[in-house]
Amino acid sequence: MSPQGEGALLHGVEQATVELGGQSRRVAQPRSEDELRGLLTHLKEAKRRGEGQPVAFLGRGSSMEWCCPSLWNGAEPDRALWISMESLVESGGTGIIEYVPGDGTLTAQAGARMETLRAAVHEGGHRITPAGSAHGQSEGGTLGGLLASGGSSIDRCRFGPTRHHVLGMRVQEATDRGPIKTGGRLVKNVTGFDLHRLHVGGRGTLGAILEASLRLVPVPEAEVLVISKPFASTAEATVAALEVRAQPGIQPRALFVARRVVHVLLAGRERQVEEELSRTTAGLDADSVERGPHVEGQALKAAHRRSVVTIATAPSKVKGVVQGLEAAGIGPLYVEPDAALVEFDEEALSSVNADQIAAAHGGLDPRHAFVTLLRAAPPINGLRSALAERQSPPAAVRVWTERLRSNCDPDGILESADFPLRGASNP
Amino acid sequence: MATMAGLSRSQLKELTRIVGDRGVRTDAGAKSAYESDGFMLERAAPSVVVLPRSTQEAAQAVRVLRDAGLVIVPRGAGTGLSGGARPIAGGAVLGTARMREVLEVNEVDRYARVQAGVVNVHLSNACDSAGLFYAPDPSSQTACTIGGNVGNNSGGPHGFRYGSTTRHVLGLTLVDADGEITELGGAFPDPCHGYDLIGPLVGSEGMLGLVTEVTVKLLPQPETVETLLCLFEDLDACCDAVSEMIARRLEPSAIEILDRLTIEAVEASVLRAGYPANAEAVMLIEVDGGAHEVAATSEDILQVAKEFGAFDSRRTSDPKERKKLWAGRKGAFGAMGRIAPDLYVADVVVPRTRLREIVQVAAEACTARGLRLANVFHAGDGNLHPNISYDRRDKEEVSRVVEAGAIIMQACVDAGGSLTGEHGVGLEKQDEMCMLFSNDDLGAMKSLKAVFDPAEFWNPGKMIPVRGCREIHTKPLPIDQGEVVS
Amino acid sequence: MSQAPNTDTKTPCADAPVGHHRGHPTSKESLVDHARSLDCIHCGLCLTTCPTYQLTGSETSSPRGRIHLMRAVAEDRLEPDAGFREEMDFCLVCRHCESVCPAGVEFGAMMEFTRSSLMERQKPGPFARIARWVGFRRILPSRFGLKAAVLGLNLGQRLGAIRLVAPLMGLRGSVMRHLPKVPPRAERKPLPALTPAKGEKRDRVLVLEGCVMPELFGRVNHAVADTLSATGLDVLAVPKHVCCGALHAHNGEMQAAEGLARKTIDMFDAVDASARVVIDSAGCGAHMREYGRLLANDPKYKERAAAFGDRVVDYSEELNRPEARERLDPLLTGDHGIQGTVTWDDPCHLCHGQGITDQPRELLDAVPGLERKEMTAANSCCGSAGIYSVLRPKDSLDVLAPKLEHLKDCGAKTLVTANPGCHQQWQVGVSREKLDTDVLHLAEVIQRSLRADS
Repeated sequence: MSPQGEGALLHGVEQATVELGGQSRRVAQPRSEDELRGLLTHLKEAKRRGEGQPVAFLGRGSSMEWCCPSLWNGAEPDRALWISMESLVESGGTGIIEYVPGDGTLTAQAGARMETLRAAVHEGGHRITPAGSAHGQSEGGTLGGLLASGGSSIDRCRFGPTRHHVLGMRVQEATDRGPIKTGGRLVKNVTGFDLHRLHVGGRGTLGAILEASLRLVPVPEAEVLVISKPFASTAEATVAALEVRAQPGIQPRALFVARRVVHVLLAGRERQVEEELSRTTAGLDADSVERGPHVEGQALKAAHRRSVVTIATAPSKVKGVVQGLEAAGIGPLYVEPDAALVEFDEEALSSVNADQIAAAHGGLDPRHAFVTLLRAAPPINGLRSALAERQSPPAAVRVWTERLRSNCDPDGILESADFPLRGASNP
Repeated sequence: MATMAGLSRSQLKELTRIVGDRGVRTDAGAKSAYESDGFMLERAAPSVVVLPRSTQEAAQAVRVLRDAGLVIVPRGAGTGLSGGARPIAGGAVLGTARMREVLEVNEVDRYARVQAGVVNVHLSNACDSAGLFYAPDPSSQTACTIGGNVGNNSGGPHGFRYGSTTRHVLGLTLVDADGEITELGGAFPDPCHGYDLIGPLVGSEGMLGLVTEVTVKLLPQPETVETLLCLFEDLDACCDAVSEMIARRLEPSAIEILDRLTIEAVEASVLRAGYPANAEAVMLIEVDGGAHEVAATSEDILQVAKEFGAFDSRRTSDPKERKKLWAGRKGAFGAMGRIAPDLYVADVVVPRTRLREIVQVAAEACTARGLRLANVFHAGDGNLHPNISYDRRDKEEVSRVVEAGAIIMQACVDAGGSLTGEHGVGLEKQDEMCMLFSNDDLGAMKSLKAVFDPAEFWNPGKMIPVRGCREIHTKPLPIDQGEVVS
Repeated sequence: MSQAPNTDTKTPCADAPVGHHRGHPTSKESLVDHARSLDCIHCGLCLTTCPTYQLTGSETSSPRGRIHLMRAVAEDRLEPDAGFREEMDFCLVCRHCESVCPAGVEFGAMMEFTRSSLMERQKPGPFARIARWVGFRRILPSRFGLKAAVLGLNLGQRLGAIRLVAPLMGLRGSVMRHLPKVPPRAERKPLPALTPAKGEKRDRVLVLEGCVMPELFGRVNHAVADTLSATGLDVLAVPKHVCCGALHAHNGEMQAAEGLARKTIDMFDAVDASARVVIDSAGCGAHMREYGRLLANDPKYKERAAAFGDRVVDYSEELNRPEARERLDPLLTGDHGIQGTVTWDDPCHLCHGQGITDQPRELLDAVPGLERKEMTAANSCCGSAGIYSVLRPKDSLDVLAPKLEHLKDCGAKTLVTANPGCHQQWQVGVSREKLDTDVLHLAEVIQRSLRADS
């Protein structure tokens, strides 16, 4: 973030104009939680006076494109106010509040940078899951941004989604309450409601994450990345990947298909990894086998994509979905067979319409496949409205969502056009 | 108008029509049997017990009960230890004991869809032939239900590696106060409709609605499973060994510790596991995964144990032997019934670097007060269960137990710990919430409750302290359990 | 803490006898064994094992619930009304809960106590009273009575009277239609006083012929004597003895049960006061092992009863002793004619009452050419439960229903058990479901597998 000029104080909080994502943006930079709270109070009052403006919390902006597309890419970028969470981290500091290697837990400020955190826990023999940002994006984001975006990474195959590793948080809602604590810093805890789960993937619409505690995973003794030869189609590669998944005795840390190539990341005890490697290569024609601590990064790079459409389905239906999409000429596709995610980017979408995507899987029965449009996906003929119609949330979910919003953000200052239930992300 | 149990004659008839003759109980005996769960110190009977067989029946029953102005306490098998599954005073208990069908086991997609009343171990049995298993295994797994596990975010020994229930729930069917049925999640990997509502619903102790069906994740059965038993002459050394295993980032699937008194109780019960009587502490460890992984990890663990003074160890992969070793651990709580008329069971969690410290605090607090303390805990998670035995008829002894309990809890909080790791808050830990949360924190919880249950219809009066936090000091154990509230 | 740790005697009142009332017989606290009820810590681990909880899903019908009710009655919080009585009667006393109770609650003993007290307090109606009197005092303890009853049954079956009577009796009638076929006279022949050891004699044992066994399952008694003697045992029967009193004790007829226990001890000791007593009926075995406790308040019999109880062994236990197996194994052949897989169904009073589960399985596995398959929930109750199947036929069949499903899933062509009630119950179930599964006593399987020359 490179400040281009100091603006006026906004209710005692520094404001700067910052060049971010190819645009100049107005960024408020609170230096303390009190300043942040004061700013939110000011914004609420302004909203009540009818002087509202779009507001969103900002990490490094690395996930904004698909998290907050309307505001990020919207027509009036200068109207929006971005509240930097990074500025709450003491200058020169890491944002780490507590790293307890002996307990395998990390507590850090939301504005802490992921690469800083990863480096710090690596010293103690730990890693953070998710292994990278969502969509294999290169790092550069903050902890708060990562959690608020709700994305998971390739290692969900082994460890599950990001939300399962958040132990607790401190959060500043847009209410009159002070910062609230939910969960804790321990690996096990059932005191009270798990409110933090609402903020993981909540895109900052229920408040700002101030701190979060994570469960860490050990650095493995050995790591191997198996890269297959390219298959003739993504469907064939998907079948091969599903076979790896079904084979007993292999517990991949990551398993995905990118550009018709199957990637299998194995990690763990040395001899075990060798054993799993031989089982993997027995069924999969490997183009190369990479060893060493760098292979996770290599896998992340291979998984990097700029998806605009994500289809969630079930492992048993992945193949059908992929075949359908390929038959409609959509490709290349990114596939995680275990999480049953199929994604594709703009290129793949050049000539597609709703019926073609629908035909890809059983008429898009929302019980079997859920389609999400990411980022400001280019308008696809009828897709958005077709999805809105077929994938509408249950009535009660609308009610609960509304109540949640008004509880945590009674004045609606954090309202987003994209989330939770309308706009590009959730048609 | 109201004839029985706060229900009019026609409402009672309607309920019977919905759930059948055996599904509605208003007789004194039935009410009495539902006046407490595994938490025995306080009791209050419901005015009616309703046992639906399906989501549809439950939803219809909820509407009748709501119209009658009765609040509802959801209940599984009533094995909870925090008083969460019994009423504060009157109202209806809605039990899921007759909703015990495993609706689907999907071998390829690795999930199961079950009715809420399915017993935890029955689910594991049902997916056994598919080579899959359901990971959360609370010690009461032979009786407790999946619905109850969801309500309490239950753990169990294997929670160390696999995590508590919340990491295994993919979808829920929820009946709300209007009797509306909502399906959340399903087999998809992430929340589809905005916020992750399943997150806060798991562990909500029946306060947000009635969960009638659950979709859970199943895992492939590990290729190899080994159970290790390490014997220590000293509980402190045993705790330190666990801290060291965590610090070395070893990854067994469970690490449990039982102290001498617990061992004696277990060995005297039907669950005799063959734990040697000459040990001051027994460490029970399970390692699972690929054969090589298990071999390497077991070696490392035995090495650490030895370094910390384990004088003997056993290692077995024989399923029958393993089951026996585990049966002893799982029945430990019940087996305490043999050595004490009453038991104060704490459920604290501390950072795993500080196990020994807190165990010592507990031991000193009890010794100084002439109390007998038995320890059995999920050491791998830092989840301690100091059990203090007492006799509730001895009022003076009860007050000493209260003192010791307060000291243990304060030490945990000071160490950055938590006051319940898996038993839930319910009624038992309600007041202690104030030791961990501010009024603002609790306010946020209250407003979550209002999101799902604005009319305070579901399990009212639980978890969130009713009184302001400043009024609460140390909660006395009820001296005598003769009083019935309802 | 007033107690020493780790004591096997669990409560201050553990020495108090079963079946003897403390305090005034009509006061509420004397209705139930309050001291014992306090052992229950309400953990609920027993729930899923309980057949009646499985049936109803109601905790009132679970072991924990029933103990809770007993306790509430003793503490004067609940009236021992018809509802209470119904829950007590609904229990099958299969004691499955005891096998899983970590606190060691002695549920069976508590239930016998409560039933007995209820019996004294609330006398059953005149018709039931007469029926009970006839059944417990005139038929069961008397060989003549039993023979007369069997004769009636036999005649009824031959003349078709059962078919006429059954419909008039509703549900109970439907059970009567499945009453056992009375076997031919030859099979009802009692055992000789001595069945001499074959080959070198190594020891001698007493056997209990029992009340119903000789009349309906006489062939089993003969199989027991044959197989035991084949392993070098002199097998002694006690010809005039009839009933051990188990059914009485389970159904609240404590005084009669005590009398029958004394009589049994006297008669057996008269034949041999040191030999082991081999039982082929699980219900009798479980009860006779407890004679010591039953007669603990009888100074004259206390010690003899305890010693007698210690001598009681189950047939499978006796035959699976190493010295027996040494003689038995060479005699076993694959020539038994038993086709298809067999499965072992644990009688409750064998596995839960006496903790015997391995021995019968090991014996079956020792038979050449016999493929044994485990049946799901083999250790859960079949619903027979002594005379429960007669008193509550519908509940009894409801309890059996899931077991029949398990049998079908298991696919066994022979089901092996070791208790006349279970044997009979399974025969009813198998014939209702029209399964081609044979039901055999363990001794019959062993007998069929013995070499022709042995």
